[in-house]
Amino acid sequence: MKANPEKVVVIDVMDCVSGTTTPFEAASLFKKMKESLVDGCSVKLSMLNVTPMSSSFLNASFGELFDLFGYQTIKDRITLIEYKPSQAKQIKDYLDTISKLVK
Amino acid sequence: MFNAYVFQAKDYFNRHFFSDKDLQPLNTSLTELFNNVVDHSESKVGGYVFTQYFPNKHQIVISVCDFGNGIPKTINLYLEKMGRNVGSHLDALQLAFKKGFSTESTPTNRGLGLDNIASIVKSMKSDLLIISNDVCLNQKPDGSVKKELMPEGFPGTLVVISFNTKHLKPLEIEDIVHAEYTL
Repeated sequence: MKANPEKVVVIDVMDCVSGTTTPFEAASLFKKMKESLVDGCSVKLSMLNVTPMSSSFLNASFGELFDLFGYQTIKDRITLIEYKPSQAKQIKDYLDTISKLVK
Repeated sequence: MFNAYVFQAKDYFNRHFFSDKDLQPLNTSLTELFNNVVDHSESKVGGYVFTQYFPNKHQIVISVCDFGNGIPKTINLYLEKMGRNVGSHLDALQLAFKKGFSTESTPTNRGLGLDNIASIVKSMKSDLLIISNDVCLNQKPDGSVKKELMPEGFPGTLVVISFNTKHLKPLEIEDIVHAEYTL
């Protein structure tokens, strides 16, 4: 799915979610990212003040995106900004892990 | 609700005992265990948690318990439903730790939670004990795992993690990076 290079959406994670521990909290973040990708946008995800994410939260956000769009689309169209290295590593490691698992 | 407990526990231990240590392993373990109770246990009374620091033993012990179906029963019911071979309760509890194995009790589960917990505990050379139905599994500080059947069953699941506080890492303040990061 090709993106329009001029359409970039910035999503502030902590503006979307009330926490980063449950799958219910992840639902609104997933919805925003999904809508942006469906609209052909690229997404810059601001990780400012994001608390450490549980596996359930990652499953219901990035995991669901992975199932819908595939790893390559996520790599091509979602970038992190205003992040700590440990946050970037956590998401990258998660995506690498699930890409090796068969669901 | 459990967000509040997780943050309060971390805050309490940070303020009173470990102001310069990274307590994220405690947070992550509590969160994963709470999610397991909510997602898998079908416990009619929710779950119970107990956290205590034992300074003489250099241990923070966290215990999370539910009175749901139990891990082995849940797994074997799932395997039966999927037309797969049903093994012993010992085999079922071992399967629960396999990365990627999930009973799909919620649509988004991917079978990473217990593996996460086991990895964290192992990295901290700490002890993990799980009692569920009639099975006891103990992952010792050296990483070895012992499983055994118990003569009396437990109506649910009890998880006890004894964190060795001597292996807590120093707290590092990370700088915010502004350059874009490609996943």
